[in-house]
Parts: sequence; C-alpha cells; structure tokens
Amino acid sequence: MAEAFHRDRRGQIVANIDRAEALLLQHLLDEVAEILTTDQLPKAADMDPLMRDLGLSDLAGCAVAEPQDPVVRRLLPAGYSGDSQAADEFRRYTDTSLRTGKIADARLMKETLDRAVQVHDGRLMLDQQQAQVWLRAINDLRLALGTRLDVVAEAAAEAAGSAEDHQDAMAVALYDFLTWWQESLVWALMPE
Amino acid sequence: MRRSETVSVAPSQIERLSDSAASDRTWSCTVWDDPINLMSYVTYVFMTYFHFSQARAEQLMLTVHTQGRAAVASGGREEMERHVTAMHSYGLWATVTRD
Repeated sequence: MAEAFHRDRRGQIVANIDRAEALLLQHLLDEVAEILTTDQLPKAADMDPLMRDLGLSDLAGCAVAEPQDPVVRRLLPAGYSGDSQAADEFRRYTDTSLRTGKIADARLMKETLDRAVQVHDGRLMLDQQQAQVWLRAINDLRLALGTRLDVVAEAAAEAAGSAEDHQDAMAVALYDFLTWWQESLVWALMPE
Repeated sequence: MRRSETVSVAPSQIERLSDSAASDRTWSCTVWDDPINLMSYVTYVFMTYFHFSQARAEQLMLTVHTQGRAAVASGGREEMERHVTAMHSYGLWATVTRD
C-alpha cells in the first residue's frame, strides 16, 4: 500500500508505493502524455501541407486552435478571457512549450516510479528537484481525472443510470488517492 | 529668464508620456478558483514561483478561494504573460487581465 510522502533525515522526499499502484499510475501518465501529444491541431489553414503529410506537428509559430478535449482544455487553458485574438496569440506562443513541459514531467514521474519498483522494492526517494516535478505531474493527473469525472458526471446526470458507474468508482478512487498523496507531498516540501 | 530655460511640454505630449508610463502598470496576472487544485498546493506555488512569504501566499490563496480570483502580480503585459504561462505549467488557471 502506498505510504504518504515525508522528508527523511537526509532531506530527501520519500514514500512507498506497491507494484500494482505504480503500474496504474504509469498507465495514467501514459494517457496524459498521449493526449497532450495527439490532441494538437494547428488551424488547418496555417499548417504546412508537407508537415501534415509527414505527421509532424511543429506548432511553433503556427496558429493553434482551442483544444476540443475538455482535459486538454483544462491542462492548457486560455491565457486571456474575453479576448479571443489575444488568447489565440498567447496559445500560439506558449502551447508547444507547455505541452513539452508537461510531457517531460509525466515521463520523469514514470521513470522514477519504475526505478522505485524495479530497484528499490517500492521505495521512492526524490531530491528537491524531482519532488517539484512530481508535484506538477501528480497535479496534471488530478486535473485530467477530475475533468473527466466532471464530464462523465454531467453526461450521466443527463442519461440516468448509465453503465459508466463502474468506471467512475475506479476513477474516483484513483482521484481520491492522488489527492491524499499530493497533499502529503506538498507538506513534505513546505519549508519548516 | 529662468522660465524660458524650462522645457515647455504641450498638453498632448504630457498625455502620451503619462499613458506610456501608466500602461506598464495596467496588466495583472489573475489566478482563478477551480474545484481541483488543493489550497495547500496553490499556496506552495505562490511561495515557490513568486517568492511570497507563506503568510502572503496563504492570504492570496484564500482570496482566490473565497472571491473566485486574485490578482497575484501586476506590471507590463509581457511579464504578465510569462507569469500566466508559469501558472499554467503548475496547473493553475490564470489569465492576463487589464486593470
């Protein structure tokens, strides 16, 4: 069973996680990285046809459409409210670096989870920098899960008694677990 | 004769000067409340990124929480865009706002 984060005597941020939990989190991290990679749609008119044909999506300098997926929209929100031109401009210049950063955070969390399980019998040991990355990565997981749950809850309310209930219970449990875990990580990182 | 030595500035020039000086301070980074982010996490982000004291960070976080939003920084537009981008990298929702 996962153990809360705490700071050990040497100042490292430590916790425990078991194999099954680690696998679940790695799967979730993959999903978040995937959705950030594939839900990238430059405005069609702006995309170089060759780049599109090659499946490349270098968005730097391209106009970027507002994300359709609610999770992506929450991970990459608008930088201006009520000014779509400014928002588009902001998105054009920040979209790629934000996505790249979040994908990198997810990757690091995944790798350290792997090392913890494969090498250290589930013991996580993070230095200050890694712990900061984890904080952001866990937060992105909670944003993704939380947004999905909201979306699913709304849809379920409209069509009462859906079979989504079973999936929801799992997502809710995961969300609650990550909420508790993130809280412990924040407090482990707070200066004394 | 001293009076003639002073530079006399036409009213329209004064307006333009004061506009450009004022425009450096009319933008803010506004953080918005949301149902997912932990209060402790928001406080931590404010401390880490803006280097606010824990007390100040908590105060701003509570403003976000109780009033729906708080302007956490103000200054030039580009600077505010950098702050908003940083907030997004932490998963907070922020926008550049005009004061």
